[in-house]
Amino acid sequence: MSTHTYGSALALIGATVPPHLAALDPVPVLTGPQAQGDLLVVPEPPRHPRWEPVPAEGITVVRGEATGNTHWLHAGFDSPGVRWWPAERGLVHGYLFVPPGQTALLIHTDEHGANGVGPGTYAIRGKREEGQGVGSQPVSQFVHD
Amino acid sequence: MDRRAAVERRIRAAGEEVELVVWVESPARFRALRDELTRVRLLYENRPRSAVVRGVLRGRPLSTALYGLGGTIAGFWFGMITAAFFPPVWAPRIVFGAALVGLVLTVVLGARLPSRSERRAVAERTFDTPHVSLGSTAWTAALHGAGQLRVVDRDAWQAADYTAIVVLCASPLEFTTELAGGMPRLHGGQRPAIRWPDGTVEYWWHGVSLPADVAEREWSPQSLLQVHDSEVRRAMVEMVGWREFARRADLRLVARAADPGNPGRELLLYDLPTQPGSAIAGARLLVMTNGSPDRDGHDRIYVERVPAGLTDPVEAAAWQYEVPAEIYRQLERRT
Repeated sequence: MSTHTYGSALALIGATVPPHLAALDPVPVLTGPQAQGDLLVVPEPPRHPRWEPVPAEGITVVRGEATGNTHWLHAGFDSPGVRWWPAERGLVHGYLFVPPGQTALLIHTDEHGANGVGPGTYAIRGKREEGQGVGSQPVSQFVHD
Repeated sequence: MDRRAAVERRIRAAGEEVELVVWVESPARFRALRDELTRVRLLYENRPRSAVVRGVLRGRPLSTALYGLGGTIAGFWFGMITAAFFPPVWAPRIVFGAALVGLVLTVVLGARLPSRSERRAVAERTFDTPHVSLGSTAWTAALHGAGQLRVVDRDAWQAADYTAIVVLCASPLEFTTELAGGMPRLHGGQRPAIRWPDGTVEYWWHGVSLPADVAEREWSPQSLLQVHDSEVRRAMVEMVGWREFARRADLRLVARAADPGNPGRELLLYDLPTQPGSAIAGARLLVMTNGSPDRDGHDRIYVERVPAGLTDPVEAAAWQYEVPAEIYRQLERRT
């Protein structure tokens, strides 16, 4: 199975490799929890998923308001079986299914580069923080970037 | 003006369907015009009559009622004419039926047309990402890097897709960029990074767009927490420097721990003392360092508020993603 390098992964979204990464280094493919900025990829099977194929142009998982930067989901090399379910449940943006022998990529348009995801079922979670509610009562809200 | 005419000519030559070219003097002006432009765009794209019907019916209940009335009257007269060809005893049923069909058809067909929110969604898709081009390569590349632009013409930026309507904005009078890892991005320090011909300015901090009230006014550490956007807060802390911010805010360390998956970095949990007159009481802050450095090499430090009851920084980080702390401790990699 071919492995994506930072150069080839970032080329999928037309972004340049950030200076702290080497274009020819392979993107590590992991099956445990991993984070990309405000996103956490964590093994977690969904209930009653409605899987959708990941199109060749990828899927925008989340886009930053102040920076315009985007976290993209793409299928890896020879990975036609990668599926996505945009569930939008609480902090979960969606669920990801990667079949045995295949990979998925979470690619960022700026400093985060790319994260490789190996076989398994995952939730892609956003991040929350305590916000200021009515009066002095705090409430939790999505972290916006 | 000659230059604008030349731009218009080029655009009309490139896009066969272009029917209307609108010039604005700044993106702020464009945003103010967005709803109006959406309406205009729908008029052009959907043939005027249907767009008028759809705009009126779904946007305004009173108009829907008037259209329904119109449909009923039309149906009534259709029924009257039809009834002349049938025995008089059938006339009331024919007239009533035709009027009813007129009413239902008008309202049902109107209801099938897109609603205001659906039209807004169309507008967001079209207008959310201004497509821009300007003479300067540095300018274009900087905004392109911010995911905001697409090159279409060398003398103006285009805010809408190449369909019937094209929105163009004149070039800014002045803009400031920096090179970060070989890539240009907008950065004006604490001065405006862009000045537009209509006098509006935009503040950018190392590629992060800042609201004017953050950039132009003095702010207190407490007011930082009222800023919605985490990247903007990061920029605010960077403006004064993390140490100086912590000193001014009188932050008190509660606990520190290694950040799982982020070698050499720590998670720091602080208390922000309540200030007299401040609406924010008992705030607990989690301070983290990004897994990836900025393109210019500096570490990005984020300050985010977590529930006051949390005492373990890892638990606080896990709370942010709503996962158990033991899952967060298994984090293999943070980028």
